[in-house]
Amino acid sequence: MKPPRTRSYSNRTLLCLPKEELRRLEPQLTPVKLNVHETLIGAGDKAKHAFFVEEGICSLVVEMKDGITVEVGIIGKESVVGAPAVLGADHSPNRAFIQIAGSGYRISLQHLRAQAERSSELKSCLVQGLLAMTSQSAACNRIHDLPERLARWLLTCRDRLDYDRMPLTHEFLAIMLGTRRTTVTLAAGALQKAGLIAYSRGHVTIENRADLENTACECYATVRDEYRRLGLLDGKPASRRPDV
Amino acid sequence: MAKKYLRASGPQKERRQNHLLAALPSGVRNRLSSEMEVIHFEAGDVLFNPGDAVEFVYFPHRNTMFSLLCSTEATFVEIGVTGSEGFVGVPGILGSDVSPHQVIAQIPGSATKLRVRALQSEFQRDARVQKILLKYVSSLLAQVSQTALCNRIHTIEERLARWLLISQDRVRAKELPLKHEFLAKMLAVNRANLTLAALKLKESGLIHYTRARVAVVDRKRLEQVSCSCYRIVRGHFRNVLESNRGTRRG
Repeated sequence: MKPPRTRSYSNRTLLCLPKEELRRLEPQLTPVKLNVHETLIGAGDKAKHAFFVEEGICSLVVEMKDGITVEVGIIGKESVVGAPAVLGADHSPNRAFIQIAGSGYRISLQHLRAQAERSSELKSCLVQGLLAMTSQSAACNRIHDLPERLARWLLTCRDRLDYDRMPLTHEFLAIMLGTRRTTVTLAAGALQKAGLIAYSRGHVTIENRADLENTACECYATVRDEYRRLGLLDGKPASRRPDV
Repeated sequence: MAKKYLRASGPQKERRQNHLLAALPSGVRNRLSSEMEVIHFEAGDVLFNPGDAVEFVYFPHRNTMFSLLCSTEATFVEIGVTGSEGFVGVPGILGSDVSPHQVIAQIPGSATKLRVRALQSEFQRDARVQKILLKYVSSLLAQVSQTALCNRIHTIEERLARWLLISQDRVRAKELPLKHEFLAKMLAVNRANLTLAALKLKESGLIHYTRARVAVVDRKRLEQVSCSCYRIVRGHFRNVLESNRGTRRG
């Protein structure tokens, strides 16, 4: 049987693995298209698969019975969707759905768990970033205002994409931020007026990155630096934060 | 910071006070027991500040609870709690040498202190240890995730009710020694608003409190006032306990 053609990967967690481990995993990775709005893992589900995103954005939300939704994290090509299940969670605490279409690899949890058991590096990769992002969101959601949280999420998305024009509707942003669409429209309008972003036909483009970073709450940089430290995002992390 | 270090007089007894330690295979526990030490805490004692090296991990006993706080430029915000169902110093087994968060003792009590290197060594060589500890980490992730929503959506009263119920689940005491300033800090609300919310709960006969102690009077009705985040987080907590009961060795 011909050996599989060597793939080149974009997913940073896969690229973090030693070459032999990646080669062992390769036959278990099924290429999949990630369609917008598609739910990869439902809240409360006993997940069967995990996903390595290559392109696109997956949103992690907590949902209440009355339909209120708040985003607690974003996963793109830096990471894995379904990490809690790999660590042993019986049911997914979040709903993971595709916010921006793309592609990736699907792997059965059984195989990923077997791999993770052998590799402490993989285990760390799986959860450190997510824990940092979720923790920061818990704090951010309590004390920061909509405009700064909106700026944070736009930058977080952009860091995980290879292009500028991000397909993000106001409705989507409202779900992400746990607020009403009208409120998002106002906040986005203000950012646009200040020349920080441009919004047209359901797409958001960051026009002035530096000033948008200044507008964002510090949660953006804190999580970004943690991901950089973990090798999941490009760039040098800022020096370790001083004791408060 | 007042801390009293006491050699465990009955190491068996202390270990059974933390569910994770009790669930570890007995061989692992025996190997670790010489590294274990029982520590006592006062309310407000700081175990980790953001950026501190994780040299030790702590397994709380049934009488206490720790708060995890995320620090921002302006303030600290509580993002989760850990009682005897878990341990603090989680970054230590995830390959990080540093605590990103502040960890404080909420309620005076005791915990088992263990050198992180000793735990790491057992963790790396034994899949059963990995399973037990990582299952807890996944439940912590779920708790923090729920808190992210709760902190965004729910009112001070709902969050206060939730917080009191979560604490009571972990700390087996009728009364919790809790000052209003402390609670206000945990919930990241201004103290006056916290006091107003507590007053409302008191006037409805759900809790009783003085300046420094809170008691849950009507648990059932308090659960109704609380947001459903309480029930959801309790579900994660019970999941960990149940899975450990299944793996517990003698």
